[in-house]
Amino acid sequence: MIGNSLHPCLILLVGGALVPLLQGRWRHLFVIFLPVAGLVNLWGIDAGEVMEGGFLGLELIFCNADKMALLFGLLFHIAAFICALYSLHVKDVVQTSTGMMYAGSAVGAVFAGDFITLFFFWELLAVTSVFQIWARKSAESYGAGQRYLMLHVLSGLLLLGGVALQYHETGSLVVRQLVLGGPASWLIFLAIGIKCAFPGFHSWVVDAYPAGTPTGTVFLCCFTTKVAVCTLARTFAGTELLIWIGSIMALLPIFYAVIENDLRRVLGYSMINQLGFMVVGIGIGTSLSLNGTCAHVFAHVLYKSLLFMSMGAVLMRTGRINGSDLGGLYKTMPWTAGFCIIGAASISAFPLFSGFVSKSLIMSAAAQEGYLWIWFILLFAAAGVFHHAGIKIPFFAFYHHDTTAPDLRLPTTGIQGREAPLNMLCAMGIGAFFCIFIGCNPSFLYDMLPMPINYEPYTTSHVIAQLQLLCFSALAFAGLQMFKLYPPELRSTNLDADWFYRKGLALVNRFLDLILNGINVAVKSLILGRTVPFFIGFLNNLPSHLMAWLQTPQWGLWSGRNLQVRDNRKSLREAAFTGVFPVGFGALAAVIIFGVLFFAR
Amino acid sequence: MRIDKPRDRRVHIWDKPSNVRKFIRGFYIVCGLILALDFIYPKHLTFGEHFTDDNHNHQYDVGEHFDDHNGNKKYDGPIFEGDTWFGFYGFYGLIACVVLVLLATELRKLLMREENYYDRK
Repeated sequence: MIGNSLHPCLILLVGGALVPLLQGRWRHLFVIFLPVAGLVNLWGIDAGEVMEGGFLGLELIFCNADKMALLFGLLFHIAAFICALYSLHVKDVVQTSTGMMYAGSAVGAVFAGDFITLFFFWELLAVTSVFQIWARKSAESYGAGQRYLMLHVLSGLLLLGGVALQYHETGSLVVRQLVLGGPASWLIFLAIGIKCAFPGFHSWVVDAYPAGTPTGTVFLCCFTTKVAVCTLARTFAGTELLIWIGSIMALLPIFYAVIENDLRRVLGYSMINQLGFMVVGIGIGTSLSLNGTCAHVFAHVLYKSLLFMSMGAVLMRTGRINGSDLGGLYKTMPWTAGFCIIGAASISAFPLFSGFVSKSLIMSAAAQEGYLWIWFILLFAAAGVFHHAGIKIPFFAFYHHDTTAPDLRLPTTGIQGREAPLNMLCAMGIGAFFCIFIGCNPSFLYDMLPMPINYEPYTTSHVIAQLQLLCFSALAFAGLQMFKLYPPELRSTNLDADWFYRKGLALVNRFLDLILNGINVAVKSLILGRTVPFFIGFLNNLPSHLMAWLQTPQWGLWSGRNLQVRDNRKSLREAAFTGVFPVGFGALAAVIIFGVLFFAR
Repeated sequence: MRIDKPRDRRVHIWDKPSNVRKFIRGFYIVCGLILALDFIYPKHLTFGEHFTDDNHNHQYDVGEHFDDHNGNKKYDGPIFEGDTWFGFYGFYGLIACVVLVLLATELRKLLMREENYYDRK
């Protein structure tokens, strides 16, 4: 208990586990009720309250309710509510149940005050989330889920290793600011880096998210990476390396997003791009930039889930998600198209939408600290994100070539999309409401930020600068389309870092197979194929050879003919093989043995 | 998955090429207007005015208390003032997106494989 409240993760976590006990309408009501009850519970927790306890002789801080934790807690409850509403029609109880537990683990992780509690929720996040991928029940999603789990369990192990070293060095388990130095801090840094999709570790995002169910990917996009951002802000704020890592994250994925065909994978790349902004904010480490990161996480979860929800609705209604197969759906799915455009405007940071009031905090912080090149990269990334997420997603899904009209020349025509079901539309509506509400009332978000903030996003020069940037980016898109320079949507796979463990590890496997199994085969043929038969033959033939060798001089003396000697040798060998000797041989052998024994005595 | 004959034979807004042309023309006008606004509003210098110490490695904003070992402070002017040029953000966005798309198209030659690249044996 914290004051009059339960631990903030308990309601979602325990409630999620109880979901399978209910059926039908009661289950729907219960799932919707859980985040609301969690939110009411969260309301009773004041900033600064702490819940401590002991476990195996360690002093743990199960709940450290600082302002950042409360902000993330609120966000995760809103996200859990939206996800629950969006997936209300799903009959698969495992998805619903683990989805709620997944949200609960995320809440637990941001409230964790010590590394052991953090580790527990860190692993629980991985285990509960993978069902959102496996639930699609295809070979592709099964493989993607396994790869996802492999990386996240690796992240957990690195965290545990780092924490153990940290405890050994300092005797403290408290989650606090660390200095990137010895192995302990590097292990923790890498563990967070995997979950936070650092360059090289990012491929799980674009591998797993497109493999999830239409509703599962919405769950996935809300929690894991944001827990990582929160942990990174708590442990490595102000680490200059993060500024460079973040700018690479903001820059590189947009190139992939432009040429990617699977629209949910495009959103995955744009998510890494947005995480890049947050990581830069953490790296700068001033109060403005850290506030910017927190604000951007808040806005990001809402608009990114909105975009994933609209694409999930398209996938559910048409069975397709490739840009090359879609188009013209604004006719049959007008509400979904509208919500998608609101999400797209938010991620592109159009004035009056949520991205504008959060992204500009990070940009301003970079400028204030004099990071000129970083600022240029972020500006490039801001133009790029509008290009691929703001325009490409709605344009290729809902407009572009008309796939709803029957045209025999195109194999993809005749898709009869239907408007998404009511629960999905309501969930998208709530997301869209928050995108506009935060964009129009930035103080709602700013007042909840961890540090006091005095920032005015709506200045004339800022609004016009942003509008110019976005309009001329759109102009570039229009021009490139008009001159047929825009890369067409093609059914393809683009190589990414996952190549190293999907193909690279397979190559290593094949290489080891060649080397180790080669040695195995060679040794087998040498020992079993040659040496052993040789010895067997040798030992089989030894007595007859020995006897023939002993008797050859005697045979030579008696007959003096070679032919006779050869015949004698042959019959002797046959006798040795069958073990049948003339009586005289046996008697002779017995006499020799007795003679030897007599003289040896 | 539903692949039916469409029930809807109405002509929708973007089915008419004239509407698309009107929209694009309107968009060009908006772009022109936003660019023209650059003439009339006072520009804000994003990078402000920065001071550096003797080694040129620390920036200090105007008005911030400055105290290095020698007590000298040197005004180096703003780090960057290009953002006050006419249409800076517009042209930056335009060029950025063209470069982005052209580079990405080149990247495709390097990275693109067939759709079942990872599944084939």
